[in-house]
Parts: sequence; C-alpha cells; structure tokens
Amino acid sequence: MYRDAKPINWVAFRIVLVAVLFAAGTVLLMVRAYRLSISDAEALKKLAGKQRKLVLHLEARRGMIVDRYGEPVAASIEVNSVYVNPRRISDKQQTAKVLAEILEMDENEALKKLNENKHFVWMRRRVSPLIADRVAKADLQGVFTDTEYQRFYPLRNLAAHVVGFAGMDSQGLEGVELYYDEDLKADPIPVTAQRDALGRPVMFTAMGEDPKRRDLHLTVDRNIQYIAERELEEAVRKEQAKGGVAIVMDADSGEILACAVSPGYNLNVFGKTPADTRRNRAVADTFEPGSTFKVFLAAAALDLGRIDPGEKFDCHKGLYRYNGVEIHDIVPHKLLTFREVIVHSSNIGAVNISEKLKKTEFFRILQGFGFGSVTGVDLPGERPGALPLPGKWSVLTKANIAFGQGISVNPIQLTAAFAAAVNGGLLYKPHAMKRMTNALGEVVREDAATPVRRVIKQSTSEEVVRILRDVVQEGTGKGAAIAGVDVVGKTGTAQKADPAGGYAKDRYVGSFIGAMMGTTPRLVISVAVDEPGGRNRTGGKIAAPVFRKIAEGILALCGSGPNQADRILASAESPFKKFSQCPRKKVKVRKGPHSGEWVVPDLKGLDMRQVLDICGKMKCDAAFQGIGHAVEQDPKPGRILKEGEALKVSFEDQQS
Amino acid sequence: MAATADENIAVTAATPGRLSGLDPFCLTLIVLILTAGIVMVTSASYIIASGKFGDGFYYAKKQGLAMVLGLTVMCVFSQINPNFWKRASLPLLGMGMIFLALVFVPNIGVEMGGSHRWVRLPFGFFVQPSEFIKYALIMFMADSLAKKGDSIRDFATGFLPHVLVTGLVVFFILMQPDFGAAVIVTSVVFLMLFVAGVRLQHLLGGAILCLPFLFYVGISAPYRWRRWSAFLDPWGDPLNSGFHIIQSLIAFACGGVTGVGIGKSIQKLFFLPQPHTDFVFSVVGEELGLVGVIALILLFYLLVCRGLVVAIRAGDPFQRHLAFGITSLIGLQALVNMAVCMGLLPTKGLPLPLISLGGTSLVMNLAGLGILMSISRSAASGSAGKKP
Repeated sequence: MYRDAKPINWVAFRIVLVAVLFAAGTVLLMVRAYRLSISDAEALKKLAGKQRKLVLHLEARRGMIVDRYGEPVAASIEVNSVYVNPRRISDKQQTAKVLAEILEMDENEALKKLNENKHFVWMRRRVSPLIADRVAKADLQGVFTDTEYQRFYPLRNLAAHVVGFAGMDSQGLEGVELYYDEDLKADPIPVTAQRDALGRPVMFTAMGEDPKRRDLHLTVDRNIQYIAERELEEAVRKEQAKGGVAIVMDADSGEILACAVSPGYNLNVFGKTPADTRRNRAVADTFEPGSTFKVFLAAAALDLGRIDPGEKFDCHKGLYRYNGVEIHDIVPHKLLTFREVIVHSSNIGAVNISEKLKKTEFFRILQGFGFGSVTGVDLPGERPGALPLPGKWSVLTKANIAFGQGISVNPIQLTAAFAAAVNGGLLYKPHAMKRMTNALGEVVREDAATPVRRVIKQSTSEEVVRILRDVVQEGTGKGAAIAGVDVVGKTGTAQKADPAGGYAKDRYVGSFIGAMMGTTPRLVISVAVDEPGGRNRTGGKIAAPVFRKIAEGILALCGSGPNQADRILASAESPFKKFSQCPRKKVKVRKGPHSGEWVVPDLKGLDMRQVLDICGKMKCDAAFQGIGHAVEQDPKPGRILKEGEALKVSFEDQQS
Repeated sequence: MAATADENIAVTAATPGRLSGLDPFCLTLIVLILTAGIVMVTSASYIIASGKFGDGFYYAKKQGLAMVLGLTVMCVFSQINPNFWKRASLPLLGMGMIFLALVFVPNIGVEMGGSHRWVRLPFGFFVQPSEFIKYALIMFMADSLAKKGDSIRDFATGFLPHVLVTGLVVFFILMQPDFGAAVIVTSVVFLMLFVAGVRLQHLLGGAILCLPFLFYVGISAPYRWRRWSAFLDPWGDPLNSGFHIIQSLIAFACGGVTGVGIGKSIQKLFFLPQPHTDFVFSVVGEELGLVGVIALILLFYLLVCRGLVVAIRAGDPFQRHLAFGITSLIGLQALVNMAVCMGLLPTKGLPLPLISLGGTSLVMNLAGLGILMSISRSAASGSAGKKP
C-alpha cells in the first residue's frame, strides 16, 4: 500500500500544479477584462464612436405658406414615389411587366427605364399610397418605394400669382415660393445615427420638428383676395378684356392685402398653364399709366409751391397745339382751376401745369415716388418701368409725363406711389410677407412697415386727397363712389404703346386707383383692365366700378355696412374678417373594416387646415373648392373611403 | 457490453436519492453556462441568420437541438461505468482517424472557407471529426498512461509512443487545416504526460523539438503570419490584419461594467468576425459587461476546479487520467478562446466550449462532461469502483 500510495500522491500533486496554472490563467483573464472594460475603455470607445457614426440625411418638409390668419395656401403633404436600382434587377422583363401593370404605364417604357445603367432611376413619382402599397406588396427585387413631399395648394387659384409654386423637387419656381425659397426650402436634415460594419443604420434618435423649418405668413387676406379676384374676373369677362390686375394695399404700411391677376390659374396643375398666364402682371408688366399719373403731377406742383389750387388754366376748348403736337381732351373745357384740371382729367390743363415745373424738380419728385426703379416688393420678376432722365427729355417729354405718357410703371409701383400721395406723403415698401415663423410657431422675422422716404409734405398730401375726393364725387371717378364712405381716387384711360411706334388706336388700359380714407386701416385699391374689347374704354366706366365693388365687398366682409359710422375694418388685435366664434370641432378619424379603409367623418364647419389634416391621416386625395368652412363633402359622412381615393370638399364663407 | 450495463444498473441502484448519479455541482455549472450560451448565441447570430436564412432563430434552433441531444448523451454517459471507455478507447481512436481521413474524401468531406473540417452524415447532418478525435485521443492516452505505471519515466516506453500517436493525429488535424485544434490537442497531451509523471527533460526536449515545426507551420500559411503580427501589434494595421482584434477589444470597452444589454451589441453587426462562434465571448463582453465576463470566467474556472477535484479523487489511474484530460481539454479551450477574444493570444479559430455555436463541439463536450460525471460518481461511491 505504501509503495502504491506514493506515485498516486505525486500525480495528485501535479494535478494541483496544473490547477494553479489554470488559476493563474483565470486571474490573468480577469485583470485583462477589467483593463479592457474600465481602465483602457475610453480610447477604444472613442474609436467605436468614430467607426459607428453615420450621418443620415432625412428629407425635410418644405415650409408652409399661410395667409394673414394662418390658413394654409401652400403645404407639403407626404406622397410616395417608386424608384428602382436597375443593377439589382435580374429579371427585367418580368419586373417591367409587373411594374407597368401596377403603375399603369407602358411596358416598353418601363423596360427602358430598367435597362438604364444606373443605381437609381425614378419609375414614377407622386403616386397614391394605394399604388405604392401594391408595389411594396409585389416584393420585386431592386424596386423600392420612398416617401416624398408634394406641394399642395388647397386654395388652387387663389392668389396664384403671389403664392407661385414649387416644382417636383420642392424648389420654388414662382411667386413667394421662389422669392422666399431660401427660407422655405427644406434641406435634408442631418441625423446622427449608429451604423453597422456594412454601413447600414441601426439606431436612430427620433426626430421632432425640423428646427430649420420656416413658415411664411403672407400679408394677403384670402377673403379680400377672393373678393378682388371675383370682381376683377367679372369685369374682365364683361368688358371682354385681355386681362387685368387688382391690388389692395394698406396705405400706411405697404402690406399687400390682395393682388389679383387675371387670367388666373390653378397652382396644383401649374405645368399645364402657359408661361404667359403664370407671369405676375402686377410686377412684371409695365404700362403707361395715363391720367392716373396726374395725381403725381398735382402732388409735385403743390409740393413745390408753384401752383395755387384756385389758379386757372386755359384748356383751349379741347385742342391745344404744343410744340408742334396736338393735344386733345375728350371733354372740351375753356377755363379750369387747378383742382378742376385733375377732377375732369384735362390733358391740356395738365400740360399747362407742367409748364410751371422745372424738369429736374419734377423728375426728382417722381423719382421720390419710386418711379423708374423697382419697389423691392418681395415678389420675383419685378420690372422697374421707365422714367427717362431729365437730360434726355425732349421738348415734349415733360408735357407727356404730365398726363401719364412717355413713362411706364408696374401696377404695384403705381399703387405704392398712390398710397404715398394720399397717406400723408410717406412711401412704404410694398410687401407680401407679414412674418416668418419657425416650426414652434415663434416669429423669427417680421416685415414691419418701414417708410422708405418722405416724398411730399403732409399738407400737400392732404390737398391731393381733397382734390381726389372731388374726382369721385363730381369728376370722372363717380363710378367709384360709395354712399357714406370717404372714397378718393383717380381714373386713367391710357392708350397702349404700339410696338410699331406711336400709340395703338384701339388698345387701352382702363384703370382706377383710389383709397378708402375714412377706414382703419386706410386701404388703397388699384384696378387696371387691359385691352377691354367692349364698348366701354375709359377707366371711369370700366375700372371705377370694380374698385367700388371690391371696396363694398371688404366693408361687408368686416360687417361694416355702407352707412355705418364706425369704420374700423381691422386693428392690430382683430383681423379684417370677424370669424364666427364657434368653438372648433374635434373630429376623430375611424378605421374602416379593412386595412387601408377609413370611415369618412363629418367635416361640416371645419376649416381648410383641419380638413387637410384629416385628409393626410386618411391618405386620401383631397380636392377642395371655395374658401371658408366646409359645407359639402363627397363621399358623405359615414361612407367608407379607400386610401388614395378622392375626397371632395366644398368650402363656403358663412358670412358672405 | 452486457456486463457493463449490469454494472450500471447496480451502481445506480446503489446510490438512491442522488440525481440519477449526476454530479449536482457539475450539473449546476453546466446548466448555467449552457443558459448563458444559448442566450448569447441567439443574440449574436440573429442578424446574421435572418440575413442568410430569413429566419433570425435559425442558428439558435440548431444550437438548441444540439443542446438537447448533448444533454441526453451526457445523461446516458454519466450512467456508463467509466472503465467501459478503457476497452473502447482503441476502437474509438481508430474510428476517429478514419473520420478524420474522410474529411478529404470528395462528396463526404465538406469544404467550407478553404478548410476541410466537416463530414456529411445522412439526414443532412454535418459533424467535425476533429472534435471527436480530441476525446478519442484523450481516452487512448488515459488508458495507455494508466497501463504504463512506473515505466512512464522511460523515454522509449513512456514518452515516445504517446508523442508518435499524438503527432499522427495532429498531422491530420493540421491537414484540414485546423491550427487551433492542433495546438489544443498537443497542449492537452503534454499536460497529461506531465501529470502522469513523464520526465520533465523529456517533455521540455519534446517541446523544444516542436518549436521549429510550430514555427514552420506558423509562417507557412500567410494568414497565420498575419494573425501573429496582428497579435503583436494590432494598431500597426488597424484596418486589415489588426481589425478583428481591435473590434473585439472595442466590444469589451463598450460593454463597460454592466454591458449595453442583451441584444444591443453593435459590434456583432459585422464589426466582429464570427460573433456567434469564435468571438461570442466578445459579444458577452459588450452586452453583459465586465460583470458578465467575470461571471463566465468564474463559471468555467469552477467547472475546471470541479473536474480536477474529480480527477484527484478518482482511485483508478485510468479514470484519473481521463478526468484530467477531459477537464483540461475544456478548460484550456475556454482559457485560450477568452484570451484570444481579449487580445492576449493570437487569433486561432477556436470555439468557446458549451457557448459557441457548433453542434459537434457542444455534443462532444457534453458527452465528455457526462463521462466526467460518471467518474465523479464512481469515485464518490467509494471503493466499490476502485480496482487494484
């Protein structure tokens, strides 16, 4: 036993030795683990952060454009687009066949796209969610769907030329969409994510609102805009005119409350509209103003003190030879006072008045009113018009300018200058932007009323207003008069310059520019009807009534009857339109029996923004009509609507 | 065979109340390690499996199946008298060698990633003969060492035959090539020889003679040389050869003390090479942190301690050598794998026993542990199992 036991003990001893070896190894492992996880971890973690970092660019939503009261006029809604990676498609024939069927396109055309030697080809952009869903379900190799944003203009034609539009890739192309594109455009939002070794993102931090998003608030009041467009359109139709412009501006700030351009167009299908129609005539077209320009002649003459309002001028019974040219008046007069020259719009009188002014001082005042240079209005494509330098004036130029020939203006410029003539002499920069807000609704920029300069003395302006009041009460502008409302204004009937030289015989611009002086705020409304084809040619007959109807519409809108003494239309606190103060209805959208189906809620009484939200939720194709609050809808409440189908909603103003 | 079965029944009956003769200490450790293993393999393989097979649990299911099979084998083997393996060792070694050779036979052997490590079995199973031969060799060595007695100290009878047999086995393993397995097998055999009492000068001489050979094998394949240089200086070429080691170290660093949480590892997303097999320990480091790492190291250490205690307690020399061989095989593999993951040893391509994905390895290790349990039981049941 003794001899047996000894070697066994030695074996056991050696096993213990091995156990010690294992123990040492274990301790070594633990020390190493401690160092890796704790003491040496920082440098390694930094490396991990570096190699895992991935910056993704998420498509952002373009800023919204809303009117004065926050009602959307341009909004981006989510739509789906289908794209392919041709290099990852093995069976192109089959893929083309399936895609062509779902997307309702030509199979050969689809195949052509699939055969492009690229990594990325759009198959069809802006498809309904329904179609995108079918593409996704087809589960085709190398075919993908993506969410994009599409610009949607819920008010369609309204203020089309001011709002403008953005293209396929959300880039502003016209109107404020273009002018404020830098603010509105949505740069892809960089999001830091983690990635795996193959570069695929694995973890996102959920993103809230885009901090860089800017919403544009217009000065445009869509109710007033609607009235202006309605009345202008009516006049253009009635007078068989080529087109027209009507502008409503706050005389004491330059805010553009409405800018109607005829013919109009639907912003949602801007691609189908000819460029000529899309051009904003209110800034991009210049015309010779004609008699409305006598306002500025009068202002200049009075301000320079060359004239006494009672001073008489010989009007030569309607025919006056001046430096070898015949000057006519439509209605012949013998002797007219200064005031009467304006009131009856005598060209001969105007020429005589201009004789009392020096070229340079007349020029300086016209320049002061902003003629000959752009107003800087925040609408793209503005043209300055022509105001020749005094050195280049011929013997006739001053006389011509006196009654609005030989110079050209754009409608916004003329309106702003008129506002300066009647508001006490301050020229304001016209503008369409009220303010810019961020995603949280905080104001980041505001376009406050800033006077550009004083053009004429306060007293001059007051005298001009007195004269212009008479124009409406007893002169050429009677058509603009509204009982009980202090309306001033001036008519204009300008022959259009013939491209061949001289003036065209039967092409006119009939215009009226006026202001409601007794209201708060004081509103300047200018109307120009281009090439009326009917019997009426004069501004007094064509444009003055449009002015009256727009003014009456605004008064009615604000609940202010024509004979009411209280004429506060709007103040800083309360907007022009007194909305019915019914509490906002909350509407819940319920799911339908099958997926992708919804129960159409009752939309009655909702405003456009609410309806737009609901349409977004139901992923349906919204088709809006009119303005105001929802009154009609198709399909009716309670019906089932499939995603991607159309929901038609009619809006109406409950008060007008 | 019949006699063995009778003995089994007798022994089982002799120890009523015990868990069918399963060493409870050992069993607890195994269950804990296996639980950690299946969880970590599931977490580490999910993304890879869903990419490859469209089913994230593909590997997890296979591993679970292997686990059930392995536990069954373990239970069965724990009931078999350990002396049965004395007689079975030589046939098993022969079988193992044939298997090992089959690897190179076309249509039976399967080539994956440039190495021949698998043999195709009926019903769509694959096995790794090298896992099998490890245990067959250990059994053969244990039997042979036990028979030699004092003559173990003699070079010609105690040292040379064992080294020659081992050399043959290692040669076949290297042919696959499976460098990691070759190193492990050689190391375990040396440990067994050392414990059996082979003269130290013989062992050292053998080891020194091995060195030029090791060196040659080490540099003959360029990838091994790269692994070696990457081990020495992973930061010398962090984007190529050093990449895997650095990624593994990053996993431990990101884990910190408590880890990022199960399933939340980023390193397993293709930064780590084979996060579900060779580098599963790194995923443990990232997801469970230092706490999990220390716990797993301790579990393996306790398992090794228990195995060595069983070896010491075993009365029979064969059982003792067998218990020691099995224990050091599992312990050494675990130690080396963990060391590799933490950058203490060059990368070898060794799985972490009981944890890493791999059916053959799991079943074989559980079988080995079953044998260990049977030795434990026979030692505990006193002199009954002891033979003069």
